[in-house]
Amino acid sequence: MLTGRKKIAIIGNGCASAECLKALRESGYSGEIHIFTDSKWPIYNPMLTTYYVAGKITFDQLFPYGKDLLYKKYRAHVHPASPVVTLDHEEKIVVNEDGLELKYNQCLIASGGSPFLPPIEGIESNRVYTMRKVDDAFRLREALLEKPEKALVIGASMIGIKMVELFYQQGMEVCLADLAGHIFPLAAHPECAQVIENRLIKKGIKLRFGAALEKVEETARGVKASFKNSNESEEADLLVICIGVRANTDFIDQKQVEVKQGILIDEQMRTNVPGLYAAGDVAQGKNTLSGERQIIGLWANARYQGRTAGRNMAGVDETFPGNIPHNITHFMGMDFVGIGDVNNYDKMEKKFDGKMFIQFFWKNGFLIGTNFIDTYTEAGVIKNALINSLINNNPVYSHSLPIVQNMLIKKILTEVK
Amino acid sequence: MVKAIYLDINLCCGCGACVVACMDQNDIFPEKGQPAYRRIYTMEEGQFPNTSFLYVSAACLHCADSPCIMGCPTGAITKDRQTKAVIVNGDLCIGCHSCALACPFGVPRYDLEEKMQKCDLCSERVEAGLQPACVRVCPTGALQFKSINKVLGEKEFKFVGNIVSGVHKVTNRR
Ligand SMILES: Cc1cc2nc3c(=O)[nH]c(=O)nc-3n(C[C@H](O)[C@H](O)[C@H](O)COP(=O)(O)OP(=O)(O)OC[C@H]3O[C@@H](n4cnc5c(N)ncnc54)[C@H](O)[C@@H]3O)c2cc1C
Repeated sequence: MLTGRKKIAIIGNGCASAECLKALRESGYSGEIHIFTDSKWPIYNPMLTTYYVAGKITFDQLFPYGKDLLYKKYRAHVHPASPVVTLDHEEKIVVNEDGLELKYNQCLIASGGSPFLPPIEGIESNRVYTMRKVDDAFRLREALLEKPEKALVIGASMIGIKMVELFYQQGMEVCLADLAGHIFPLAAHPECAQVIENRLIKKGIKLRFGAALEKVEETARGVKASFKNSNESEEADLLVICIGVRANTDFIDQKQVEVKQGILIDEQMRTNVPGLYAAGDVAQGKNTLSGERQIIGLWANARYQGRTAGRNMAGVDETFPGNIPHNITHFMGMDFVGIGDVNNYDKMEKKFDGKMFIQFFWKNGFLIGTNFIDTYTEAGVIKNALINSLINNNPVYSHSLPIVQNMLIKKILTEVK
Repeated sequence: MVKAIYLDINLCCGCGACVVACMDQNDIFPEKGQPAYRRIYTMEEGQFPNTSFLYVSAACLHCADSPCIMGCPTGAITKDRQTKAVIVNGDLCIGCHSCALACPFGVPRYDLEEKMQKCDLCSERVEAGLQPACVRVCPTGALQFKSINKVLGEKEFKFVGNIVSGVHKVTNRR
């Protein structure tokens, strides 16, 4: 077993892990840092997998931190290609599948998430694909070499729509199905969703909503999917499932570490166990809008959380007060932005000129959410102001804000009014 | 010594000379769908008849802890070690618009190839010992290129912009 000097263990090698490593060294931590990962690849960005499959970026571009640069520069010992199987937080020992045991002083769990596969008949078919890891990208790339003609995408999520775009741009026929009643059920208001759906239909995308996947069968062509309470099955060459992500927490003793959908963390990324931190898609930090803790599975969120964890582990007192759900997705010539809560409002404002669509959602006089189509220029202004207003309990437009921001907010709010 | 562009909000008259100089310097042709880096915002304050106009010439603030850098999925946006300018590597930009949702000031715009475009603090000119193009032409002296420490040390600061932290404060505004 590796014991001795001061040691920090980081589980996972995504961006949350990378930012923790950077922050530790930049904050003056000089002890050993051990990074455990089940992946044999350098730090990659799961979001870029669809871009790689589509041939829009090179293989090397999947690794935004470079190939091994970061580990060298920040002096990390990496233990690749072997998942952590046990985390004994009482004895403070991490064990990986290769049998390597490490006694640590502090540990960050940054093991991210994995695509969720519903437990239904036939789901293990090798015609079923998911998209997150480098190997997922390889698999789909290979499948595309066979020139498939039709794809079925289950899950009208941000990932789902990128898959639709990918197949559409390959010239394939695409069907997008979801249990929900409309596209982007969490991020888009039904009226906004309608506008997007109309545009997708015009481009020839087949949409099936209220469709619960029940069974998958292999056929001569590829695969056939059946849906609950429906006689109309859907046959395609391949099927991609993107109905959500589950936190990778198998190695954690949930009797000791507080876990709900993810590992519960405070504003310093601490779990309920001393010396144990969590960050990124595996962690449930504060949603400043609902006040509850929620996994907000976003690249920047994971980075901020990882950085905050690293700084605190190095002894720098820093908080990350939380986040709100927010998405921007640029697909098939459209921009969609969803920020905050678009469902629990008492007042809604809308502007639609046939192309540009804006919706503001208010509750008790506070802006709580927005939807934009084809206008992104004020998206960041509104998102940041909204988070600010929640943290400081101010209205979204307030004189305490930077003047340019204030001006832009006022401009767009009056425009929609 | 790190310098940044500041705007004295009481001096900006919204003439747009800075915008034109910026386009000239960066070979921007709006008619070809290329976005301008610098924009003039006009803001009406108060209610008739007690209204006042405020003009603000604004571009990227080159924030100290830039949200666009954290939001960029490819590493296309970085901070220049020397000048502290936030710069975009167009070869790495995939046009995903993540930076647009990250920026609190609505700065990121995209060209026809979907590459993010913005102010680079006139790196070329500054390296050659010149002032940024917008600052050079400003007829009222509203735009200034100054050492960050010097500005922070000024007692009666009446400018817009603490560009280092990306926080705008307006004090001394009638
Ligand atoms: C297709 C797709 C599109 C996306 N689009 C966007 C977008 O547009 N905008 C956005 O903000 N976000 C997007 N995301 C989400 C974003 O990629 C994630 O939020 C972010 O990568 C999370 O980083 P992380 O470090 O927490 O986890 P990950 O990147 O998942 O990294 C975790 C690492 O830990 C490893 N690991 C897991 N279990 C173990 C174990 N037991 N032992 C050791 N190692 C382990 C994993 O292999 C992985 O390498 C997208 C994701 C996908 C899949």
